[in-house]
Amino acid sequence: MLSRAQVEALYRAHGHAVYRRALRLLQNEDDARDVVHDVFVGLQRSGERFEGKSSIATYLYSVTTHAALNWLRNRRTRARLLAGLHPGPAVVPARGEGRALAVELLATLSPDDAALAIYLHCDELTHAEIAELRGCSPRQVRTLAERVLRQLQEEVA
Amino acid sequence: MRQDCVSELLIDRLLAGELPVDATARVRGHAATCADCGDLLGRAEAAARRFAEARPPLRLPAPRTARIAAASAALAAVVALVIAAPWRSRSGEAGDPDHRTKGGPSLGLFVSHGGALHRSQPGEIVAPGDQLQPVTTAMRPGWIALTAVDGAGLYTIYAAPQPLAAGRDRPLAFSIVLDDARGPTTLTAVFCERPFALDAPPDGCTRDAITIEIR
Repeated sequence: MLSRAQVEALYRAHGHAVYRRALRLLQNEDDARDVVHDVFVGLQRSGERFEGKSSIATYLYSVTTHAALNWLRNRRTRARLLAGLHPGPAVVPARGEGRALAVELLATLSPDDAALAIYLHCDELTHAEIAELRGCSPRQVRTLAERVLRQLQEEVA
Repeated sequence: MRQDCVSELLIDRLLAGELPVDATARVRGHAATCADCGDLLGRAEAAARRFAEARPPLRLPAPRTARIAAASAALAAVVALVIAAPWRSRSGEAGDPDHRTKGGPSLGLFVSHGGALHRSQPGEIVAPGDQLQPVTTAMRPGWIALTAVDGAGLYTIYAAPQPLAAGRDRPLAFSIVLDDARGPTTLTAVFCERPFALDAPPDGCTRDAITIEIR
């Protein structure tokens, strides 16, 4: 467990990156702020999981991605996104429709696979970067990516 | 996206001061010639500035009183031992805080000031808000702890004993943002071959220290 002072120091140093990451995935400032809070409270409780296996920025990037995906799985958030799809006679922006579909598709994947899909298709990270985020080899990333892509293709077929 | 374009993850690592100097230069050089990456980096730096200027308070759960008391007692013991007690260096000689055993593991420091990163020099003068990235150089894996005493005499354990990877200039898993405590601050790394207690490191452990001046 990290001390309060350690977590506050990490928040001062890296809070901006966590917020930016959460905002990019959630597209909502209030939700992003809530995820930032969740990430750092979680860090206080389970910071020992970090164990220096990767850089702190890499670790927080991964933790924030998972936290944001969990947030998207939250029923209220999904309901709001889906409600935005059918607001009545007004024309729904294509971006919103695509986003809601993406959220639905991600919900069909396991948390780790959903994060992998985000890294690959939204963040355009290299396999080496993803390997560091997941603590595995680039070759394993390639295999996992092929499996996730197949699963997504089956969902939309 | 060009082959050499940078990811947001790489930008996070750049702003966290985690990238080696050559990688930092490469990323900034690319951002200077690529509109997309320059925009990405510029927006990230602006967001970091806005966050530093108007940081929302973090509401962490209050720690239990018993834990605070126990931690304080342990800290006092550590302060007494680490600061006041004579130290046995790797060679078995009494240690000088600034003495580095030749060939042994060593502590280094990179300073991020105004977005520019450089390796710390002896007696480096830094400013509140600067970000420090400790790095280590070790021939073999081992264990490390990192502590500091600032100008106000405040003792901080930045890293409890934890595994140390072999390699040159490997960043520790965190960086330090300097607050407004002015004066000299000495960062001291304790290196041991095996897991150890910070208040009683065994014979054979070494330490390396870097003193900076916050003005």
